[in-house]
Amino acid sequence: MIEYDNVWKSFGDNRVLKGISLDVREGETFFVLGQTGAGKTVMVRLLVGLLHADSGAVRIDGEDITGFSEQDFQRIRKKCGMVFQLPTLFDSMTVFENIAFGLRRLGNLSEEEIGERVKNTLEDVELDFSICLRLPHELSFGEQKRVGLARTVILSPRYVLYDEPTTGLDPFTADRINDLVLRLNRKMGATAIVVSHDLLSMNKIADRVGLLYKGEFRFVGPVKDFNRSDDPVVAEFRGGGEA
Amino acid sequence: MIKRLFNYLWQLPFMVTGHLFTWLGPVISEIGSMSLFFWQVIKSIFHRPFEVREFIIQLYQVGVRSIPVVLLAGLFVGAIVSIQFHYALSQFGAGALQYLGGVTTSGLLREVAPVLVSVMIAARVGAYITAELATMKVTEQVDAVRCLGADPLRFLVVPRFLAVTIMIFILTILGLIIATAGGALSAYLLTGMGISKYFASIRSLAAAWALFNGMFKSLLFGVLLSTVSCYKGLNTDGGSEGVGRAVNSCLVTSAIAIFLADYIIARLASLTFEVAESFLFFMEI
Amino acid sequence: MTQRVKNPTLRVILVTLDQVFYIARMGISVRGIGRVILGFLDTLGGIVTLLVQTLLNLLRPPYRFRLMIAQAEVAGWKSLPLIGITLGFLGMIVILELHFQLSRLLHNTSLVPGVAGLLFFREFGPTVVAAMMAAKVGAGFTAEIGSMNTTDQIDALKLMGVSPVHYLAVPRFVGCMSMQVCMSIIGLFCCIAAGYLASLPEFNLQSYISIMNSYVGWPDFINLILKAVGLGWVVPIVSCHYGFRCRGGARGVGDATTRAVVTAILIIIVIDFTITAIADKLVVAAMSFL
Repeated sequence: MIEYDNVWKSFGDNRVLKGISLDVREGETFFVLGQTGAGKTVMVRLLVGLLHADSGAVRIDGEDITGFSEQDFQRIRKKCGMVFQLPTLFDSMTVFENIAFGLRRLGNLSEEEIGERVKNTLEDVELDFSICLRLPHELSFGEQKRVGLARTVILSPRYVLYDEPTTGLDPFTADRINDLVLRLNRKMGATAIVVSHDLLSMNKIADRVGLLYKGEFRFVGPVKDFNRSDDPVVAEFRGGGEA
Repeated sequence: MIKRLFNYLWQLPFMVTGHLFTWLGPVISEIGSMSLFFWQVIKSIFHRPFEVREFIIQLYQVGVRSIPVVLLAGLFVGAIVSIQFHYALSQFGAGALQYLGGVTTSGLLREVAPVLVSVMIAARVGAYITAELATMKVTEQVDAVRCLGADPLRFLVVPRFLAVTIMIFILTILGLIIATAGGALSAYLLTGMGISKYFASIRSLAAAWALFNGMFKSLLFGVLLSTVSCYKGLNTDGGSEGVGRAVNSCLVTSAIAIFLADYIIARLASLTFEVAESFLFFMEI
Repeated sequence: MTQRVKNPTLRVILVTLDQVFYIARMGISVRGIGRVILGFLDTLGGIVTLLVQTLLNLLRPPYRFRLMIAQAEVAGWKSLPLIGITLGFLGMIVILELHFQLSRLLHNTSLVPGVAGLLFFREFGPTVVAAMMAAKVGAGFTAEIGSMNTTDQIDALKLMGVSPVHYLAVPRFVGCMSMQVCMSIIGLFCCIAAGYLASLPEFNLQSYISIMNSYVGWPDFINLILKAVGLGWVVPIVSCHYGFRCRGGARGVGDATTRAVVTAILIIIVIDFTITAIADKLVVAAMSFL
């Protein structure tokens, strides 16, 4: 269970988050919609400690992480994984090393076990095992995104944060990514927060939706309600498609 | 009209001082941040786990691949120093020329070798590390490292820091050897001085103190260089131009830092100079 | 095999050795050496080609004076602080070191400014200035042109019928050459001034200048100018060469910049050596003609 309690965040004079409050329930897939630059990424980064809130509280499983140090966040990051928007694979390492990175940091698995888990994860993200020895820049963008996904998912986190997973992909590949996200969430029993402005994805995989508009949540509720809402901003979002 | 000129004139010192402080402020804060960074890196060295694999990879990248550069530069610079000193000494008459070997090697030991190797490594490795880390920062790979449970300092910076420091030390030794050889060769080929004559004066003039001086300098330069390049790399923002700016800033700052440190050590050395001089004088007897 | 060793220390040692041998095997091979030699020749050829092209394009209209002046500003004005600071420190260091050397050699330090002056004029003026410019200005040019390359701007220039060499390389060449000479002279003054500051306890301005004067003459100044001209072309040509050949996005730009600076400094050292070795004979010959 993830809770945001009146969270404020500014960058200089720019107030990005103005007292947002939100509950994300166990096992659900929560979509965060909003304009580019509305603060969706900022919101998600607060959960893993890449940014710190100015005021308000952020709670994971009842634990207030707002004042946590880098050290403390190491513990949180084991259960809360983030898939970045750009694949951000490590350029100098092979695909195998990239995916195994998190596992190695845990330090208590043998090479065979690591190899086994990498193999299974690659199957989960529908990539061939032969991709292991290649370097990131040799892969297509879609393949890179899936390796990035594998890298986070292999740690079986309970909460997964997806930052614009389908942005920049053609509709066919985007659809496959959506299926992947859905399947992985079900398989791991994870709670997912997906940041996106892709309505098609939302309709396909989201349970509930939140619209972040000018630093506040304009709408929070099930997808059905979102599609039926009369709110002018929501309507504009639906009608115009992307922000 | 004259009044305007006067106005401008008396405002000038204030303007200059103002500009000086405006420029000075960020510089001092940079130096402060770098010192803090340095301290954090030192602390991280002793935290487990120690990234052995990364460290070895960096040793190879920094050291082995810089060997050709150091060899080439060292050879030619040794020759250049020897030629210049030959010209200078010949102004003093033939009596001083026999000391060519000693003077050149002493100069190389204390000054030229550490600074030359450090500058070459700064250009080759420092810029590369900054570019690499800056690219990683800009493409969010550093954030990814943190999210996957590693500390960027421990995983990225510490291996490079140690590798650069150790390798500059070793490469300075290598550079010294090849520069001495270059000096002797050029003395022989260009001025006809016999090689044994060249090396004879080294014993009397280039004392162990000079070697110690040079080696200490190279360690210090290594530490400075790695700190500056890692700091500049990790504190980049702004896309591709940010990377370019970081590399530029790294080169400039390392150059200034190296020369500044060199000057401070030279000053310190000259303060203890009288003590060292009499000590060495005793040694020769 | 390393799996079966339980003792952690031993394990670390074995892993280390393993990695070292693997890397050593990677480094030495005939193909590797061949590739290095070919790469070296390729770079050398490319640089010489670019130099020739630049020289040929130098006198072709349209004369882009504005561009040349802009590049001269980048090369000269913007690198002035760096040159001032580094050569200042260098000047002081040289005085201190020579003080030490001469007192041990001749037990007499009255000639320090003279020898220092010789070194400043002949060596530090042109060479160190060139090296510093390679670091600052060269890196900047490579990054700039490299970024232009990766965003296809160079191709766009060609499509518009503008020669990239004429538009990019020539202004930088002219700017850098002229600034190299100016910066060498300015750097020289910084050296001398800082050297004076460092030798203050022992020498006053009068004696400092007069001693330096007695050892340094016109041949040394000609040496300075000769070297400045001989080294000035290196930075713009080498950095433009690596910029034009840059591939691969942000990573490639960083890579090209590094290699450009290193190559530029190496070439500067080699040319410096050549000029130093033959300069004295040349200048003597030239002076004897006059």
